[in-house]
Amino acid sequence: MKKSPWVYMLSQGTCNGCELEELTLFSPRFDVERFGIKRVASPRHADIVLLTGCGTKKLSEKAQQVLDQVPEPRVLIEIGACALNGGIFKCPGPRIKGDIKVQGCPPRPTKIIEAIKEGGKLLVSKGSERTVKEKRDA
Amino acid sequence: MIDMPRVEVPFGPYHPALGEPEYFRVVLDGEEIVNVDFDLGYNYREIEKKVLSFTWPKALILLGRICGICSSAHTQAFGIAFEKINQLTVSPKAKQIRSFGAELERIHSHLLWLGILGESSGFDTLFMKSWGAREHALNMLENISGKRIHYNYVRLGGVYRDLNKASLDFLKAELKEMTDKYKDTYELFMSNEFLEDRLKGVGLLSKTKAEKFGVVGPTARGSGLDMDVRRDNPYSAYEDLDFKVPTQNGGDSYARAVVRLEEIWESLHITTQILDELPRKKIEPAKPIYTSKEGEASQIVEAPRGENFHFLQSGIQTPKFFRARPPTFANMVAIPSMLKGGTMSDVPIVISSIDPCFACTDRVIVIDRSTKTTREVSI
Amino acid sequence: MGYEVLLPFFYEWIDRKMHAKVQRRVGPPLLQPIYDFIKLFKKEVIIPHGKKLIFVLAPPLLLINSVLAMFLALNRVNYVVLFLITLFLLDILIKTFLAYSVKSPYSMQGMSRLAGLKMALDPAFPLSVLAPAFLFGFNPISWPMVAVGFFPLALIASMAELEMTPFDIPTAEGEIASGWKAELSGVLLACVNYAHYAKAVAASALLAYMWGPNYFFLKSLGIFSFMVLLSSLLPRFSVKKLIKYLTILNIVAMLEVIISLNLY
Repeated sequence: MKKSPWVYMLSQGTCNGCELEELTLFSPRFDVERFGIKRVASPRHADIVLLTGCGTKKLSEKAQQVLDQVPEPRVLIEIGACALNGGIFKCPGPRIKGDIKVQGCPPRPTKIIEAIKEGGKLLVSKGSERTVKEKRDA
Repeated sequence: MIDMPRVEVPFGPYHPALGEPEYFRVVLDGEEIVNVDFDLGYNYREIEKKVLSFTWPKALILLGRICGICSSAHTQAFGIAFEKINQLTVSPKAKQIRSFGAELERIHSHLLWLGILGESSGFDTLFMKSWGAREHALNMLENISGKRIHYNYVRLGGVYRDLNKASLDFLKAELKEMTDKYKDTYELFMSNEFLEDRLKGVGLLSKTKAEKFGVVGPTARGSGLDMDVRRDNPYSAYEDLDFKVPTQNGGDSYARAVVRLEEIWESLHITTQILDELPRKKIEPAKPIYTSKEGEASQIVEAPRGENFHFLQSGIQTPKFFRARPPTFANMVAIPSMLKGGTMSDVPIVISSIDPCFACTDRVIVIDRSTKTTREVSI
Repeated sequence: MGYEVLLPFFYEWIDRKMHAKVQRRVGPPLLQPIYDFIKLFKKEVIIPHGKKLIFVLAPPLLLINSVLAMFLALNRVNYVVLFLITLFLLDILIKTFLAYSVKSPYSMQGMSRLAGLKMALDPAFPLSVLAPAFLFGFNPISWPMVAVGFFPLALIASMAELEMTPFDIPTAEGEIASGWKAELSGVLLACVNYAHYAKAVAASALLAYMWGPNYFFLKSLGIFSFMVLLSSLLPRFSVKKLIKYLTILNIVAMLEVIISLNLY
């Protein structure tokens, strides 16, 4: 499980700084594909969700809806000061809470990689049995 | 003839092709797009209200975080407006460093945009190449400011720190590497007929329409409008620098792309100039300023996406009123016109061809006509 | 005989590693596709509203279909060409059903429309293979080197069949709101991914036959690698262009078949 953590990027209203550093992970300098980390376009394919943003009014519910689509076992990583505590904007939220937190504004890519690797280990321990759930359509 | 019903297709707020969340409602008549409506505000973080309670240095930091991509443009606009109110002079070397950073920002922003364009047209290789070159720009920004993103090298009255010899050597080396990598990327883009095909004719914006909508930046220059704040209203060191303003007449996504690519060449040229001609004399890093005169000023800078306009009314300890009009705000209005007559698969291409920065765009101010007052909207 | 089951993983690795190398990256380790496959088995499967039975049955069916195609192609069964053509068409049919089975208002309409489009325009690949078959017989092992003349068209047609860039619009989730693949999770996704590469093994095997019967495995690998290289250097076609190119492909393929029928 931890050899193949697939990552989905979710924003709750950001300045895009954190997203940029996340995207940089897939560029040649950092190249996280060699760790098995893949970026997926659909939340249904994700294992780890990189949560950024301070939770704007318009996005909070939508972000939660998207998050519900991520199948178990899953790990949420809060990236950046905004996701942790509202950051410099001091947004009231509501923000989604995560399992792993990464400090920074934005955090350096290496820190994000470390967090994803930790997330992979967490996934292994979360390893639930495969269940078949019925869900509403997207 | 059967009357095809009009279908409304939502685009967003989450979509893999858009970097950021924003909501578009595309009205289709069969295959053809008839109208596009958009709903902004997903990234609204109450910045213009919050900044009123921040001290000046902190306000600068806050405004740098309006957007992770054009951080320097915002801080520069705000800083210069502040300096205008307080009649502070900035040393020429500091001005050069400011322009240097601004051009680096332009380069990294355009390369970022190029990568996203590649990704959304299924051309991963372009993404990888352009972001590989971009890393050098980020290295350079880190060198002058200490951070890759949200670089706070613009300070009230000057810059964060001077560039010593070690810095200069590093910057020159990185610049050379980046130029080489960019050459590869440029050729990859220009020689690729498929990509050209994908972009040509998509999202047409004629010159007259561009003028009518008031678009700015590469979006305007791609439709033949020759406008650039750096040349028309120079600030920082631009008066003394030699550069061209590339324009194209096509008015389609391809033209806008070419404008950006040419702009990167120009920025590389500007940065080389600055590094070669930087004055030797040492300057002091700017000290934080906590008090200001009361007054008001405005400043326009050329952000990577176009004219970024800041208006500032200052109190003594904090700003009294602040308003930013980022470039994407002006460019968004052109989207429905560009998309009319296209198909769904044009939507990501057209939207990304104006290089939208929704984090910049979501600024809100409510003007209450009945009571003739303005109030801020809280989240 | 056992190694054939592992081939799709190897092909997936070639696909991703080659993309990485062209892009100046390192790329995933050799066993990565196997790790991905195993991981998916541990994931929860979310079934959206709609025709749930079809949704659940279609991916395993796709898997069986592709594995069958792969075995047939590698073992040079008699009349394999005909079998493969049928199986490839079935493949598209199952995908269309899958696209219809999700009751999502807009994205699935778009996807099923595209699937229908593909079905109409996909005879190119079977036809391009049929042409040499008519001339030289239905067991490809007997195809002489001259069959290489049919290779270029078959190569492009198979890239379209395998939905490799630039023909990858159906799975391009980054374009249309969500591809049909976007709804799949867990084991279902694993089936579909595996099936995709099994099909690739079968298709490149078929193409390898056009170069004569010797060094068969190396030739298939080489052909697949070449296809991957091409696809990493090209952007995706838009729907309009896709239609245009596929139509041309089909016409040329049909002409080929007519010509070879006449010679036969």
